[in-house]
Order: sequence, then C-alpha cells, then structure tokens
Amino acid sequence: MRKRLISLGCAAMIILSLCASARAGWAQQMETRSNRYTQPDAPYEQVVSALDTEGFELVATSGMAQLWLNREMHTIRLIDTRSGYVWGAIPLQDARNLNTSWKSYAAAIVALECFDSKFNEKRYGLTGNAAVTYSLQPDGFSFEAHFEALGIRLAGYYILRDNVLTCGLAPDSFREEGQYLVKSLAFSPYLGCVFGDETPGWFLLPDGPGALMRFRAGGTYISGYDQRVYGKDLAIETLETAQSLGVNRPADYLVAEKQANVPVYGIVHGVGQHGLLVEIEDGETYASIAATPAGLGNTRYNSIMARFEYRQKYSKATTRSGAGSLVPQDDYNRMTPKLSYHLLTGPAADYDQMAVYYRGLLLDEGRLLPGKEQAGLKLEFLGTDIQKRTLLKTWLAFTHLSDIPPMVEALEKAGIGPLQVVLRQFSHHNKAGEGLSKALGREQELRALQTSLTDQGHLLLVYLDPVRANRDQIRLRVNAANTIAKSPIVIHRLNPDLVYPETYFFRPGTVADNVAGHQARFAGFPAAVDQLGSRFYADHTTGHIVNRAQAQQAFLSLLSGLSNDGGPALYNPALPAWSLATAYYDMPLTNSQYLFEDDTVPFLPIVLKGSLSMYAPPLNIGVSSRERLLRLVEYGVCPSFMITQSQSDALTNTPLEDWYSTNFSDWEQRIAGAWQTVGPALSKLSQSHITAHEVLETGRVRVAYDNGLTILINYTSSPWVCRQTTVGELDFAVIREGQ
Amino acid sequence: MMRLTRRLMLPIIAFVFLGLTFSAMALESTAYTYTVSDDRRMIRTQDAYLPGSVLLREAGLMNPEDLHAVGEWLFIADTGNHRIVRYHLKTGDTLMIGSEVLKAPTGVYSSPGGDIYVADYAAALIQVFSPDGRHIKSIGQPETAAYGSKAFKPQKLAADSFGNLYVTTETNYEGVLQYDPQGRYAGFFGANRAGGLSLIEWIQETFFTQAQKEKLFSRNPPRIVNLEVSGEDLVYTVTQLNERQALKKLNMAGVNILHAPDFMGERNFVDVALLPGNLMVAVTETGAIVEYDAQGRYLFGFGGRAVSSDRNGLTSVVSAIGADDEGNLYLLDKQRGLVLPYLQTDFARRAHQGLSLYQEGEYAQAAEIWREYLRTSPRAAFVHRGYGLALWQMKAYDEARSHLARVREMNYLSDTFWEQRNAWLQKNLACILIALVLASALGALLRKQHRKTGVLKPLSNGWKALKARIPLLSNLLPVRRMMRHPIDTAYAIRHEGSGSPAAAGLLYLMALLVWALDMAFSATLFNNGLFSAPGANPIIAITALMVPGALFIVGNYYISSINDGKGKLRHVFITLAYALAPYILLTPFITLLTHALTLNEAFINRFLRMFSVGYTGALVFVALQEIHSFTFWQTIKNILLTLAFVILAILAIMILYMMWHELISFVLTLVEEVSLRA
Repeated sequence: MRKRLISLGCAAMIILSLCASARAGWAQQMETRSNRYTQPDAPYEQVVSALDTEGFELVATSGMAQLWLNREMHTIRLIDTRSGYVWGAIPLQDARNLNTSWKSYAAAIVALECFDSKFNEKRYGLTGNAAVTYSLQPDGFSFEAHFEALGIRLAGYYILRDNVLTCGLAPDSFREEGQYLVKSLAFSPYLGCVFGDETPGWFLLPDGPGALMRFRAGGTYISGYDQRVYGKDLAIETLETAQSLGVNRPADYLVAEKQANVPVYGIVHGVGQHGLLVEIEDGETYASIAATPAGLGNTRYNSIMARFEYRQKYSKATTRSGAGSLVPQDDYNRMTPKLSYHLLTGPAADYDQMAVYYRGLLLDEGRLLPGKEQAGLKLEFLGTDIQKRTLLKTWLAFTHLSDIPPMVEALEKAGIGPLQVVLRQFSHHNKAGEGLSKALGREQELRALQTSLTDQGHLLLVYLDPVRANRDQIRLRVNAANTIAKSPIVIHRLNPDLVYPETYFFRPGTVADNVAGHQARFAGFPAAVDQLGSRFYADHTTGHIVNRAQAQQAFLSLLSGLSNDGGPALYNPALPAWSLATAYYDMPLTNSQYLFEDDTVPFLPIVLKGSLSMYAPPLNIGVSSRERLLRLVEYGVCPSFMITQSQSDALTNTPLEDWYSTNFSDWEQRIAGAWQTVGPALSKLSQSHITAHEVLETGRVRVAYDNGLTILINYTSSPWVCRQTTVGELDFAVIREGQ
Repeated sequence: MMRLTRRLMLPIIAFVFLGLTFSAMALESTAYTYTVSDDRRMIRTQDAYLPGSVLLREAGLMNPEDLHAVGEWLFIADTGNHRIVRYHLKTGDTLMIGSEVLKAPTGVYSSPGGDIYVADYAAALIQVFSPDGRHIKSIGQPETAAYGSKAFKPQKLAADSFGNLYVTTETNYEGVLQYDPQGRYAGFFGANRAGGLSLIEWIQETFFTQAQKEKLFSRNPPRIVNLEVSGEDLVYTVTQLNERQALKKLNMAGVNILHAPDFMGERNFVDVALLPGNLMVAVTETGAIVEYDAQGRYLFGFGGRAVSSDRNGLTSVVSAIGADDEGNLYLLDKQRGLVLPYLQTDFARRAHQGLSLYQEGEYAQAAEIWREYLRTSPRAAFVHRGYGLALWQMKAYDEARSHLARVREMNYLSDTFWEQRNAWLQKNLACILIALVLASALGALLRKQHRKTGVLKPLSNGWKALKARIPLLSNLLPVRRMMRHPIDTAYAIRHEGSGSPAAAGLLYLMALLVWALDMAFSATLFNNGLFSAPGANPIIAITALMVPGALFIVGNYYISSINDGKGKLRHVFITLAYALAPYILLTPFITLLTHALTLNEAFINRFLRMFSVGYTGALVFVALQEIHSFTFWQTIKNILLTLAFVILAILAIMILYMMWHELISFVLTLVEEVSLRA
C-alpha cells in the first residue's frame, strides 16, 4: 500500500511536470542558446595561422616554443613548436583596415596611450615614434625605448621559458620627461587578434564565472569589454549608473556588471587546437582587460589586451556645485607591469583546460590552497534594521537569536546539512565593529547558538562589512574615504524611495578600526566578510593619501588577521584574497551578458572547485528556477537563502526591502526542495576537482571530476541519452565513467 | 504512518520547488523587474522576463521603425533599407519583401489572412503584399471631403479580423484612419480628447486678442502614435505626452473601455503588444517595458537602456515591441538595428495563468496560484488583488477582505463587507431586536419609576454636585447653547464672561482627539489613509493640523484688532472652541457609523460629514461676526485675511526652519572641522 501511494504520488508529479514543460518551444531554445549558457562548438577544421616569420629573426628557443623579433616593426612572432602555430599581432604587409598609426600601435612590443598638453588622447606604437635598442638575452631580449617627441623613456624584456613568454618593464625604468602624460601601456596589444571571423575561435574573458567572446565578422556595438582587474577604483571611477528612463519606476534598474576577479584572459584559435592563457603577473591592481569585437567603431579586428593604466581622467570640480572638467591624474600609478603568455595546444586549448591549467599554477604558487571545500547549504539571517517613517526612523528586529535554532532544527529534520549560518545585520546599529544588537539577544545566547550549531556539524559566521556605510553610520569629514577630486566616495542609487540612496566608503584606517572592533567583540566567531576582499579603492584624503595598491595590501592584511577565528568566508573575493578564504560566497552564475559575449563558461568554478566551498547568491531573489538549480550542479556551487523569522512585509521601508521574500515559513519547503535536488550530488563532488566541462549539444553538458564521477546536465525539455544513461528533461544524472 | 508521510513528503517538497518553477528559463537578468506594491510604491520583484541573445545581429537593419510578431514569424519594417524583413523564429530563415516598391516603410502588419500591410511614409502609400512577398496593391490618400486636404503620412497600421484597416498618420489628430476591407476610407476612429487648459493657456485664452491667439499653436488632442488590434477586434492605441491616455482600448464604436482607476501610463510609450488574455505590454522609446493586465492594472516593469555598454536586454532607442504566441517579447532597437528577445519566466507565466483562470471562472485554481505568490512576492499589489478577487468569487469573504483592503479595491471591499454584514444581520437580527425592545422597555420602566419614586434623583444630584465641585464642567455647558443659539452664546462670552479658556482648551483637545480617532479608526472604505498608509506619521499629521489652527486663532485676533474688531484674544479663543461643538459631538458617531456602511450607503457618510463641517463652519462664522461686531462682508474679509495670514506665517516658519537647519549644519561642520584639525 505504501509503495503504491508513493508511486502514485511520484507518477502524478511526473505527469504534472510534463504538462508544465509541454509549453517549452522556441523560447527554451532561445534560452539555452543565450549567452547565459555554454554553447557547443561546431567542428572546426584545422586552423592554420595567417602569420609567418618572414622578416623576423629568431631570438629565443625553448623546448616548446620559439620567439622571433622584427626590429623594424618592433613586433614579435611566437611559435608553438608542438603544433607549429604562429602567434603574433598583425601581418607585416597587409594589415587590413588599419592606418599607419594604428599599425604601429597594434604591432608594437610595447605601446602607449598618452595625453598631450591639452589632455587629448592619442596612441603611439614604437614604429615612427621611438628610438629602440635591443639586447639579445639567452632566452629572449630586452629593449630600451625612447619616445623623443613625447619625452618618455622605458625599458623592458621578453623572456621565453618552456611554454611561457613573459614580458614586462624593468623596475624603475619608466620615465616621463616632457609634456606628454602616459595614460596606459600595453604589451603587444593585438597579439592573437583575428580579422572578422576569418579564424574560428574566441577570447575567454574574466566576466562573472567566465565568458567567451566568439569571433564574428562584425556587429553594431557601442563599447567592448573593458574592465578593471579587481573592479573599479572608486576614488577615480564611478560605478555604472543607469540613465533615467522617463517613466514611473525608479532609475536604479541596472543589474551591476560583473567584476573581473582574476587577472587572466584567454585566446583560442580553433577550439582544441591553439590557445594562449594570458596572466597579468604584476601591476594587475592598475590593469584593465580590454577586448574589442570586430565592428566596434571602425575596427574589423577582434582584439584583446591587458592595459596598464598609468593615469585616468577624472572630473575636477571647478564650481561649488561640482561641475568641472575632465583632467588626468597628476601623478602616474606606480607599478611594474608584467605579463605572461602561456602557450596551450591541442585539447588544452579550451576554456575548461585553461581553467585546469590556471588552477595548477595557483596551487603550485600557493595562491590557492587545496582541501578547504565542504558542500552544504548557506542560510543568511537578517537581524535588525531601521524603518523609515515620515520624519522618524525606528529599529525593527526581524530575526532574534532565539529564532534560529528552531529553523535550523526544522531543516535538519528535512535532511539538510551541513549548514553555514551567517548572521547579518546583528551588530549594534548595524555598524561594523560594534557589538551584538541587544534587541536580538545577549552575547551568551550567541555563544550558546554557536556551540549548539557546531555540535550539530554546522558553522556559524558573523557578517562583517567594514568598508561600506550608510549616511547614518559615517562621519563624512572624519571617516569617509575621498576621491581624487576630494569629495567623499559615494555610490548613488537613483531611487528616492530608498532609506539610504547613498553608500559611502570608509578610509582604510577606519576600516582597520572596524575590523579590530569586530575581532574584539566577536572573538572566536568566523567572519563572513563582504567587500574587504573585493573592493580595493584609493583614498585621497588630504594628508592621508593611500593609493590603491596600498589599500589592497592593507585590506589583505586585515583579512589575514581575521583568519585566526577560523574564517573568513568572503563575498565574491578577488584572486589575492582566495588563499585567505574558506568559502567563496555569491559566486556569479552568469556573465554580464554583453552582446558580444556568446557563452557563460565555468572558468572560476573549475579553478576553485576542490579548494574553496562555493555558494551561489541567495536563491530567493531573482528567479528561483529549475535551471538555476541545474546550474548549481553544473558549477559545483552550493545553494544559499536569505532568511528572516518575521514576515517579509516587515522589511518594507527598510534598507533591506530589496530582499522582498525572506520569511522562513514561506521558504522552508523550497529550501528543502532545493537541497533535495542538488545536495546529494554536491556532497559526492566535495573536495574533488573538475577535470573537463563540455557541451555535447545545446543545453546538454558533461562535467567530469577527478574522483571518477561525471555529471550529465540536461537543460532541454526532452530526455537525453548519453553514455547509456537517460537524463530526464531539465534534470541531471551523476554517473561513474565506465559504468 | 509517520515514516510513510516522511517518505511522501520528500518528493512532494521537491515538487513544490520544482513544480512551481519547472519550465522557467531563469538565471539572471540585466535589469531588475519592478511591480507596484500594496502601498502603491515601485518595488523590485522576481524577474518576469529574461533577455535572450539578440536576433538579426548580422542582417544590417537600418533605422527599423516597426516590428510585428505573428505565430513563429517576425515582420520588421527595415526603414533605412526600404524593405520588410520576415524572420522565422525557429529556423532563423529570413525573407526580404518589397525592396522594389518601398521607399521608407515605417509600419508593418500581417493580417489574420496572411496579407502583409505596410505603411510607407515616404511614398505616402499603404502597400499590400501577399504572404509570399508579392506586391498586391497600393492604397493612397483618402479622397473624400471628410478627410480634408492634409498630407497623408502613414506611419503605423493594423487590421482586424473583418479586414478593416486602421492607420495612424503623422498629420492627423482626429484619430486613426479607418479603411474598409475593400481599401476604401471609412472615416476617423478613436480620437483622443484634448486636455484641460493649463494656467498659461487659460491666461492666453482670457487676455489675448484674436490675432495673438491665431499666432499660437493650435490646441489639438494628442496624436495617436501606434496601435494594435486584438483577436476580439478591439483596437489598442498608444498616445504620448499624456499618462492617462497613454493606452486606450477601443471597442468597435471607438469608445475607450479601459477604466482602471489607478492606471499608470507612461508619457513616452511608442508601441503596445498583446499577450494571450489581452494582457498589454507597452514599451517606451527608452526601452522601459510595462506589462498591464486586461483592465490596465500594472503588473511588471522591466527592461531599460544602457547608453555606454552593450548588454542583452538593454537598448538604446526603441521603436517597437511584439509578442509571440508563447508570451515572449521582441523589442526593436532602432538605433542599433537589432531585435532583442525577452523570454517569459515561470514567474510571469504563472501570474498570467492566475489572471486567465480567474477570467475563465476557475477561481479556486486561481486562488491557489495567488496563494503561492504571496510567499514569493508578498508585497505585490497584483498578487493581493488576484488573491482577494478569487477569494471574493469563492465567497471566502473573511479572508478576501484583508487583501482587497490592502490594494484598496473599494468596490469589491464594499461588496465583501455587504455580504459579511448581511450574514451577520441574518444571524443576529433577532437578538438585536430583542435587545432593543428590552432596552426601550427598561427605559420606560425607569422613567415611570423615576416619576413615582425619583429613583434617578441621586444621579441628577450627583451631576449638580460634580458641576459645583468642578467649574470646568459648568464652563463646558455653553456648548449645547452654542449649537442652538450661537449669537447669544457669543454675546454672552464677550459681554458676560461666559466660558473659560480652560474649557476652551479642553474642547480644542477633544476636537483634535475625535479628528485623530476618526483618521485612525474610521472604516477602510471611508478612510483616506492619512494615518494608516505606510510611512505615514500621525504626529506629523496632527502637528500639521494644530499649527494652522493656532495661527488662525492668533491671526484672527490681530487681523480683527486692526480692522476695528471688538473681540479680544480670549474671546476668539473661547468662541471658536465652542463653535467646534457640532464637529466634536457628531464625528465619533460618524466614525462608528462607517463600520456599518458599505459604498452603497456612502451618501450617508458624506452627508453627515458635510453637515458636521458645514454646521461648524456656520457657527465659526456667526461667532466671529458677533465677537467682533462685524457685518457679513466684514466677517468674510476678516476670515480671508486671517487665512492669508496663516499661509504667510507658515511660509515664514518654513523659511526660519530652513535657515535654522543651515545654521546648525554650519556649526556642526565647523565643530567637526575644528576637531579634525585639533
């Protein structure tokens, strides 16, 4: 009888599910073909390089590659001797669609963008602009360049070892002696470029989890991919703000673009044939990764480069109202640019193997530590916040400490665990560095909660954002970091209904105070740290100037101190913070969805899987969908939810009201359902590395792990038979290869 | 059994999650989705549509002006390339139509019969093509006198199932041009109305000479800029610069049947498309998309533009929107020459299902959907409305009432209360009648006994003793007299020293109290929400009443004293307090009464309130006249001057407040600066 009932229930659900999916038509095709998914690769013919070494001299040879130099055009060729493929920038003779100045810039081993005395920008390659002297080295060459007309001197090197070509500037060799100010510097800016779609392939961009920009003949674009590594420096750049739509709804409608958290990009000419993984080894704090699709402006080339930003323009206020003119920074950013090109060939020339290769580099160098991963479910509890009334603001409590154990217990009964429980908005007045808010409970209760959760195999973390503040949490003249224009760094949300439309940023000194305060008050509690590992900004407060690199170093040092308490888990951290983290929160599941991006690929998840526990952004916001759960399984990312004990309505007119549905009783079944779906699979994959990720057909993905397990994910609305396994529609299967 | 339940629960729990969202296509959008909350603010909610990858990226569309989606086909007026592009959504096949005959096609429509109608702006013609792209005929400028001599500049067009053609033109404000199935001009259809005069227009109208007026632009109704025809042959029009008329749903007689009282249109809509169930999706030129239900109530707002980056779903300049049979949307980005698909998520699909089930009379199923939505979108107005209406239809009035009240669906709320009241009366009427009979019998008995034995004598003695002990009570008694003999009472106050400031103060407090109680506790149907709306602050509201009141008293005294008024401040203060008597005495009853009334009896509430305020106003007028010994017109002048004083005084207070605020801010800044440098 029992079995019959269970079968009946399951059958009914399957029938209902089928009915629900019968609707799927071309819309689902369009969805799986969108750039939120990885696309299958068309079978490519063998790609032959359009470049050769005629007119070049061989300057270095390793077991895997050769480096050639042309001293007239000041450009290089790099030959992967394993495949014979010739990498380079543009052809010497018939570089189409480029004028002389662009040719000089595109081909040069080092190229500059400069501001003239009127702050106009212009590009300069070496040919026709600089006197260059070369010195051959055993494994490459060094050079000295003197841009006489610009009054700029620099010296650098190109060194080839095994499959890695490293280039950079010699320390302290950069000099500005004239009126021209250097804006940016790039090494071989067009290396790996492709004219239109003449060579099949793509650029791998560090956008979200990873993105591919496939080569197209052209398109209509107004901008390319141009992102600062580790995000924008808010002291000189503002985040993208939406324009008013002239409608009734507020103008804070844009979902933010994803930050580039790793200083790498990739180039592939012919998938599975020829690839370059490019890593910015030094100066990455001031670097940008810029990819230009064919069709942007007048260019017909797809190109990508690492651009080292020596100066940026900013709006210098000339009136009291803040109006001003755009001028470049007076002083240039101090750095020693260094870049390495890793030649990959054969199967290694694909995004998944690039990630595997990069993971190996990071593990070897200790920038990523193995074995910190544990699959689980993250619950973030919102404690208290302010509610806006006409003139008054009152504090409301949404989740008391005593509310948490029953919720955890309810989830345990549904077989969910282990849990990462994060307490958010639990400090006094929600200020970083303050103690526990008395409205939520006593410190003894917090200790007891930690003990009881730990005993049950869970982990309790206390949220800390020592960097950001709202208007009531900061004294602008005392604590706020300032922009280069000497005004407080602020992010405005164009929504007058918000309790706090402005977000300010503390000075690095205050950030340190906040962290110290937190450590003193929550000693023994691992921290879930927001911003500190991802938001690096300079502070131009008069008399206390801290540049971006110094701020980054200071923040990493603070994170290092927080690791004493067993943490920290970091929200969307940048690469330098990875080795200090125990978990990666808010792992992006899609790229920024630029028009020129064709695929979202799991570059970051492949790199991190097996080393850090990864958690998705809370599933109760956005759209909770089957696809999102499948994406978690595909990427090896654990689910998380934002929870309150109080009804969701209670968050109305508070700074938390964008969390529009958080009530635990509303979400209890969904949390259980999500974990029932993904938990068993993720648990099996814990501590394992992804070895391969491939899309066999549109919406059908295979992910292989080094523990012998393979996940087959089917995003389509029809069943999929793969390796003698039938994967249902919108479902996945875990199989052991060979079985 | 427990184990069985648990084993059953797991798949059920899983299904609750999966089934809800089974066929959704959802990872993340590039722009947030907004909806209207139950407190009428714009709030974020789950993604209703997600951007797909752009279509026709390499087709080289140049300034395309129109898009029409039919079944699996998209028709695009590729204006700059002088052609129509037909695109198949499944296969991606394209067919170029009309390159030989078209000059600047700005509108395209594929009729139910398959013919393709094209509005050619530059050629001043409507061109008709067969489904395979063959040119069939041309329709030119109407040649009847009714059309007049205006230039014919066709822009957009649509056809109904009878073959009638509707065309918007650049030059006509009289409405849409209608052609019969044979292509003969049949007249104008569905003209907009001109709005009321603005202040400047009124001044121009009043004072300008005829010659000056002729130099002004004519004040015509706003022009219809786009249109769509539904399967039921209703014509939907788009009008700019007027939010109320932004979208109209015209029946065959050209009458607008879209009557959403809280319709939130946009001034810059450029096109509208229809989803199954006659849901309307309109788009602005800035790429903001708004979806409304069939009655014009706001469901979702999403999309937008990004002027400095290229991202899916974000546009530059939008010229048209279309919707396919699956409920997916297609935006035409005119500047970039791209088609941007928006794919419906399960969140939107379920909402559409809820609306559709309600329309079909499947109220229980609709309620089930909306109940689930309450968990994920607990503040969305459309959810409370949907749930409340479904419950109302299911006669679950008790539960329906709170949801209908949250979204202020007053008519349904009133009906709900009517049903509840009816049921209550049916249940309790006998008891009420018996209680009334018993009470009146008891009263009669007491009166009789009192006459015989003076049983109530101790009460009246007690009252007298109390009055003697507390003079304030005696001083309150003129209230009764004031209501019947205001002139005598005012005379007594001025000349005989009747009344006291303490009693008057008490009366002001009582007036304030009954007003506050009325604002707080009158029934939702009759409550203006001054206290109850989210974000409202009763203290501010009360202050906002007290300050002008106090200013009126003081101001009236000073104004009258310089106009030879005889009353002193004490007199004004006391007299006005007594004049509030009708308001103080009647308002509590009205407040209570609102809880027994539905909108059917709203006139009772209205009448009583008008009576109360009118009576009070009359007493104030008479009292002031008597106190100051003014004539009728002097009193009018006195009151007007007092009101002017109140306004000026409030302005002065505001200016002082701002200056004080600036001063405090300056001092704080100074202190901060000094402490920083110390």
